Amino acid sequence: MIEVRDAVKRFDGFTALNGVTLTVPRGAVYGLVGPNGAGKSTLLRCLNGVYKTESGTMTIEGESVWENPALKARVNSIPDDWYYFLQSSTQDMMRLYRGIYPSFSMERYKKLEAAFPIDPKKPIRHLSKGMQKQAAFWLTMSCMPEYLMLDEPVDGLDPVMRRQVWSLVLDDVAERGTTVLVSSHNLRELEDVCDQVGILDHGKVLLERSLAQLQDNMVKLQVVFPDGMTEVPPEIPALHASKLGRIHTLILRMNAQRATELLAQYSPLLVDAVPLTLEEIFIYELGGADYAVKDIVL
Amino acid sequence: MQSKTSSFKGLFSPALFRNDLSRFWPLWALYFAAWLLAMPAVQLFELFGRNHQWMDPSDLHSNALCGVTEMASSGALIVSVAFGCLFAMALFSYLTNARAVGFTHALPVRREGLFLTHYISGAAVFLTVHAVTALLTMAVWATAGVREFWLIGIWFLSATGQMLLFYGFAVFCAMFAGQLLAIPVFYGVLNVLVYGLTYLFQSLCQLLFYGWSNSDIPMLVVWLTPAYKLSKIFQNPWIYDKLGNWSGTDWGELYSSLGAVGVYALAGVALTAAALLVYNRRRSEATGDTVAIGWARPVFRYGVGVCAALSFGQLLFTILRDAVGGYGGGAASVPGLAACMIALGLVGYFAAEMLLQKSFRVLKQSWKGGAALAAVLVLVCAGFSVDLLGIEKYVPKADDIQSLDFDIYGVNYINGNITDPETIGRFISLHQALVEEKPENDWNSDSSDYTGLRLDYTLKNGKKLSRDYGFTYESGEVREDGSVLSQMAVLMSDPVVRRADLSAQFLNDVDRLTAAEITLYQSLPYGKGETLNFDADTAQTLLDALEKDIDAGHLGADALDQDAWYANTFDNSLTFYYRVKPDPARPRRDDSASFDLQFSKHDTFLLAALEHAGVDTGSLTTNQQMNDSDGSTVMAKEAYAYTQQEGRIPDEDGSVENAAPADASVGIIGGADGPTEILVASQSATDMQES
Repeated sequence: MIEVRDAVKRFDGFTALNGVTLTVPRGAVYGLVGPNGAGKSTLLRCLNGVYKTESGTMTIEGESVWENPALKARVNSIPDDWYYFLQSSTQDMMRLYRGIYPSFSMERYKKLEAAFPIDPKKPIRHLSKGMQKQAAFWLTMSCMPEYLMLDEPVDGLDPVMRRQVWSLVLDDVAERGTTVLVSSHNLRELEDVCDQVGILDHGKVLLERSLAQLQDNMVKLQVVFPDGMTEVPPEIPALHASKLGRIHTLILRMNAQRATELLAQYSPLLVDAVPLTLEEIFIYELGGADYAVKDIVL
Repeated sequence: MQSKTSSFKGLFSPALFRNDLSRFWPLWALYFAAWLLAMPAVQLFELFGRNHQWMDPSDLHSNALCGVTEMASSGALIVSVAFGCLFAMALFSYLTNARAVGFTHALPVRREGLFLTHYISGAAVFLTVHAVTALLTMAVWATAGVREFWLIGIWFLSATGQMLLFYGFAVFCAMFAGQLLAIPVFYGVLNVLVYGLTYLFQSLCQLLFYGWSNSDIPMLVVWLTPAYKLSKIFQNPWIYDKLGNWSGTDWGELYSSLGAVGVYALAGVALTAAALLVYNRRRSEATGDTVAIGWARPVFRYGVGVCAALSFGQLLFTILRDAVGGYGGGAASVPGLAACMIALGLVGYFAAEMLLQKSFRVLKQSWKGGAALAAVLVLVCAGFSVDLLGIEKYVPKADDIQSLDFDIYGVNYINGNITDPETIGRFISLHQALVEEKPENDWNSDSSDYTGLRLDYTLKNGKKLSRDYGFTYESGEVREDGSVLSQMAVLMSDPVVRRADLSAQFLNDVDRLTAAEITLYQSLPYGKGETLNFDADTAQTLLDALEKDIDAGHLGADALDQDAWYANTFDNSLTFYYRVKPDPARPRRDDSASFDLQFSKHDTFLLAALEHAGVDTGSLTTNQQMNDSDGSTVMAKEAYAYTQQEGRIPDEDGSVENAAPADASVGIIGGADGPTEILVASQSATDMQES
C-alpha cells in the first residue's frame, strides 16, 4: 500500500505539493488526474525517491521511500521523459537494469521481445518516441515490479501498442498483485483501467474515490419540464445546466435516486439519468475548484 | 520505518560501476594513451631510438631518469589538472541533466552509493592506468639496463597523488554545478582563486599604498594554489659530478616533493569526503541551475562581484589613468579607483545574478544586494585611502628586525643582506623619511634621474615585510642635507652596505682568488686594448685594497650623482677570477667564476695598489671620457667629416689619396633613454670597425 500524508514540496518558493494525502491500496490501479501544474509528476518523483519532501510522509508498505534502496528495488517507474544513456541500446540498458534490480527476469525479458518489435541492439536514440516508450515498458516490466508508477505512460504509443501495454500491466496486476499508480490526462483510458481515482489540484488532492463511488456521487440528468417552465428552477443545485430544444441537461452532485426525487416536485415530463464519464467528473469537480472551461470571445 | 538491511545495501553498485567503465571508455582510453606516450613510449624512443647510437650510456641513463622525473612533476601535473576535471565531468554529468538525475536517483542505490560508485569508477581507471604504465615503463628500463625502478614508483605515487587531488577537487566542484560547463569554470577559477585574489589584493594595495611591495606571495597562498605549488616539486633531485655525470640523488628534494604530493593527496580525499556531504544535501531539482547548492548562491553572487571589482575595476582604472595621465599615470585617485571598482563590481554582481536567475530581469529583485556590495567597496576604498590600518606609514622598529635585504637602484645597482643593527637603524631612518616625504615619479621631466629602494625585512617573529619605493630626482637634490636622497647617497657608500653588496655579488662565493685582469685602452677612440694580468697574490692584494676603500667609504661615493659618476668612474673594469666554494650537495662541472668591479677615482687604495702592480692609472679611462670618445660616435663623426670634406674615407695611415670612394654608413649615438644623434657617412660601419 502506498500512503502519502500531508506531503509538502516547494521549489524556490513555489509550492508544488501542498499537503497531499492519498492512499493507494495494494493491487489497485490508481489514476492520478489533475490539471497541468497540479503536482502529479512531482508527487510521482517524490514517491520514486528523486525529490525529498519538506514535510509529511511517503511510505510504501509502511517504509519511507527516501534513501531506501531495498524498497526502491521493488518499485519501478516510467516517467513521461524516460531517460536512457545516449549511446545505449535496449540491450545495454537491460544489462544495467538486470544488475540494479534483483527481481529482473531474463525469462520475461525474452518473452516480451515478441510483444515489442524493437531491435535490442539498436541505439535507443535512433528509435522513434513511441518505440522508446516501448523499450521503457519492456525493461520496466522485465523488472517484475511490485509497485509501478507511470507518468503519461501511453503517450506516443499507437492504439494497438496502447492496448498491448495496458494488457501487460493489467495482467501483472491480476497475476502478481502489482500496485499501479498512473498519472495521465487520457481520462477515457484511465476510466477503462483504474479502480480508484484521485484528483489533484494546486498540490492538493481534491478527492479520491473508486470510480464507482465517483460516478455514484455525481449524476447527469436529461430533463423535460412541463409546458410553461422554460428554465431550470433556481432551487436545484446544478453544477452545470445546458438546454437543447426542450431537453435540459443537468449535472448534480448527488446520486441518481435523490436527484430524481428532487425533480419530481416539478412534475417533469421526462427524467433520464445518464452515467458520467471520468472526463465529465474531472471537468465538473474542478469547475467547483475554479478550474473550468472559460467562454472567451476572440 | 526502513528495512533493517537497507542501511547497508546500496553503498556500491557493481552494475553502475560496469556501466561507467563501458560508457566512458573513450575517455579512459585517451587517458591511457596520454600516459602510454609520455612514459613507456618516450622511454623506448629515448633508450632505443636514434640517441642510442651516438649518446654515451651514462647520458642515456641520465636522460631516462630526468624524463621520468619530469613526468612525476610537470607531466603528472598537466595530465592530472586536465583529466581530473574531465573524469569528474563525465562521471557526474548526470547531475546536470534533469532526466538523468531523475533516472539515477530513482534507482535502488543510496546517494552515498551513487557517489562512491561513480568516484570509484574514475579512481579505478586512473589507478589501473598508472599501474599498467609503470609496469610497461619498468619493462622498457629493464631491457635497457636501467635499474632505478624506485623512480617509477615515485612517478606512480606522484601521478596518483596529484590525480587524487585534482579529481577530488573537480568532483567537489561538480557538486555545486547544475550545468555541465559550470564544472570546468568553477574548477578552473577555484584552482587559482587564492593566488588570484592575493595578487589582485596586492595590486590594489600597490595602487593605494605608497611603497607597497607585492612580490611576496605567502607560503599559505602557494599551498592553497596546488597547481602552482606542484609545478615546483621534483625540480632538481639529481646530483652530478664535475663532469656532469649523474652521481647520486638528492633524497631531501625527493622526500619533500613526495611529502607535498602526499599532503595534496590527503587534501584530495578530504575534498572528496566534503563533496559527498554536499551531494547528500544537493536537491535533485537544482539540475540546470548555475549553482546547485542554496547556500553557495550568495557566495557566488558576491564573489563574482568582488572579483570583478578587484580585477576588471583595477584594469579599467589603470587604462583610464594611463590614458589621461600618460604611462604610469602618477598617484592613484581613490575616487576614480572606487568608481571603476564599483562599476565593474556591479557588472559582475548582476551578471552572476542573471546566471543564477536565468533571466536578464534581475535589477528589481536584487538591487539591494548590489547596493550593499557598492557600499562595501566604497568603505574598503575609503579605508584604504586613509590608511586605516596604518599600512603605508608602518615602519618596523630596529629591535624587531632580524635582518634586512636591500636593493638600491641608482646609476648602478647594489643589493645585499645586513644584520648590523646600526646600519639597519639607518635604513629605518631612510624608510621613515620616505613615508613622510613620499617622493614621487615625475616621468614628464626630461632631466630627472631615477632611483629606487627595496627593503625586505625579516622580523624576529618570523614574519616578512617588504616595501618598494621608486622616484625621480634632480642631481642637485643629492646634496641637500637631511633629504631622502642624501640619506640614500650616504647609505650607498656605507662600508657595511657596500660590503654586503660585494658579499652578495661575489665574496660569499669565493673559495680562493686565482687571478685578476684589467684592460687599458691604448688610444681613443679606436681603443685597441692592452690587458694586464695579475696572479693570485696580486689579485688578493687588489681585493684587500678594495676592502680598505670600502671601509673608507670611497666605493659608491657618486652612486646617485649621475654627472659625478660618469666623470669619476672608470670604464676599465677590474676582473677578479676565483674558485667557487665547493658545495658537496651540488658539485659543479666548472667551479671557476669571475667578477667585474667598477671603481672610480675615489677608490684611492685600489688605485695605489694597481699602480704598485704596474698599472699606469693615468691611462685609465672614465666613463665620461669614453662617452665623449665613444667608438661608434667618433667613428661616425669622423667618417661624416671626411666624407663631407673629401668624399673618401682615410686609409689606415690617415691618407685619403688612394682611398676608394666610400660606401654608406650610419652612426647612431646614444640610447633609447637619452638624446640620439644620427650621422650618415659613406663607408660601411663594418669597414670602419675593422680599420
